[in-house]
Amino acid sequence: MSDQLSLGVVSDVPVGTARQFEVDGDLIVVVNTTEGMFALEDRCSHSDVALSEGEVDGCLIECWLHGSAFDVRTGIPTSLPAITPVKTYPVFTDVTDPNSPILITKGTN
Amino acid sequence: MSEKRVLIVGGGLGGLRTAEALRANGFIGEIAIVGDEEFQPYNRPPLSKAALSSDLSHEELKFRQRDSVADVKWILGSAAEKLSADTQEVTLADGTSHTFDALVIATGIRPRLLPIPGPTQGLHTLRTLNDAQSLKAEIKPGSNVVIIGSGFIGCELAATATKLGATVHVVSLDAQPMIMPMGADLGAAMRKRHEEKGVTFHLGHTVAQFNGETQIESVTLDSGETLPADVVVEAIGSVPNTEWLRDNGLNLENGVLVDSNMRAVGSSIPIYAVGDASNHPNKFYGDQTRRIEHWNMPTETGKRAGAALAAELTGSELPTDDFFALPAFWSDQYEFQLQSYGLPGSASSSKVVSGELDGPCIVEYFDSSNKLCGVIGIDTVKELMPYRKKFLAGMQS
Ligand SMILES: Cc1cc2nc3c(=O)[nH]c(=O)nc-3n(C[C@H](O)[C@H](O)[C@H](O)COP(=O)(O)OP(=O)(O)OC[C@H]3O[C@@H](n4cnc5c(N)ncnc54)[C@H](O)[C@@H]3O)c2cc1C
Ligand code: FES
Repeated sequence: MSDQLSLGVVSDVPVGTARQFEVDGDLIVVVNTTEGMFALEDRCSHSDVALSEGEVDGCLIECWLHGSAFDVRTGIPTSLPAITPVKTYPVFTDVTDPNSPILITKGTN
Repeated sequence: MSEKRVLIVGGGLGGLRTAEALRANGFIGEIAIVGDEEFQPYNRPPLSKAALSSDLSHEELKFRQRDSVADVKWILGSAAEKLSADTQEVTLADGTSHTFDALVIATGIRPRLLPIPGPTQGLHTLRTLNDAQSLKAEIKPGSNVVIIGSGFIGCELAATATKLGATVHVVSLDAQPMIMPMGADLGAAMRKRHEEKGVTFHLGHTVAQFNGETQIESVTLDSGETLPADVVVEAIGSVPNTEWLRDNGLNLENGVLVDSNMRAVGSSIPIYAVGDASNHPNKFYGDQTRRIEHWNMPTETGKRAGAALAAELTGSELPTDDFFALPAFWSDQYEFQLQSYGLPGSASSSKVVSGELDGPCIVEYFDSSNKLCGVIGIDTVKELMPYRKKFLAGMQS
């Protein structure tokens, strides 16, 4: 089973930016890139700070504290010190429509 | 109007961040970066941690470069030997000379060496990727590693070498590891963690002699004790790389003395200094200037230098506001993560405010007027966030 959750609308997250949403106590960062909208757990796997405060560059989001970059499509870190991927969530939305809701699927696992 | 040329000497994080900030602030002239290493800027913190226990190459460590600096000219593999401020040129070891309209000093520091008699084969320091690669080739399961110095780099190396299966001895004149930045109590608590992992400390001691023919086989301490040694690493502190700047009227007592724009004090031409080599004022330091060897400072000082220099070169007003940046360091040793904000090393007292020193904890540090001046947490990175906010808010007021 998995539930779909709504995290605001497309215009809340301009291309090239990231924004934090809180759902059921979980922090999720939505990143809008020229390749689409992606959602990840908003928690750097190195030492637990919000990725949403970092800089977005293409499909990477860079942790502001120690500089690890994560590929927002896969959650995989592309540079140290982080080594563990962060969790990603499938996103359903129409990025061409500013009012389209951003829906993510949160697995039960 | 002919375009101006900025020469950045030092191809590390500070040099790169300054180039980016120059572009971000509208400088469109030429930027050339001189570096004595053959590599474009890469991340140093992993060198004492993950890079020693895996096959990391420059490709994996190098900093991502923004498009704005794609046209930077890289002059790599030869050190700057001499600045002539009068003629506005820098001469490199390879004999070439490079003129500039503005100079940025980003040459960082190098490890300090002790004059210890004996052979030198097997003796290492750790600052560059090449250093890390030659160390990595020698630290093997079962090898005897002697680390001289118990600061961050010494302790991180002790942790990494232990994880790699080496037998590690740390020799240090200090009373506790990392005592300068974190004080005796937390230092002792970190020592315990290291000892539980198998590291032996020889505190209050130094190495008097390296023994062996050409390869070091053992070291003799000032106590007379002899320790077997296949690998020796000197990690006793640093020296700023500023010799090449001598005789130009710059204040080089402790790095390069600069003002709050990172512009060299006493220079009539635009000379700036950033990163580990810059001795700068900061609202956070009060009346003093400091040279800080933390990873976040090259970025902070580089941003300010780039903004000020771009203004100077276009004839605009230089920023007049105070420079303020919160020093922050982290250190990963075994599974323990240390994070600090502020200047705990300048404190006169400290207090454990959360947890216990032998577990996850937060320690607050106070200056002589009993004002909070720093904080260190072990495995409490998230819980430290409010301190960061508080310090930043305090600097803005
Ligand atoms: C092993 C290691 C681990 C670290 N771990 C941490 C950590 O966990 N946390 C933390 O906060 N900080 C850490 N640091 C500190 C951090 O990496 C430094 O503060 C940062 O690299 C400083 O950047 P910089 O650009 O000022 O100097 P550097 O990165 O040293 O760059 C200076 C460059 O200039 C070159 N150079 C020197 N002299 C000349 C010359 N005459 N001509 C041309 N080029 C020259 C140098 O070779 C170097 O490439 C660590 C440092 C090391 C070495
Ligand atoms: S907390 Fe993100 S890289 Fe360290």
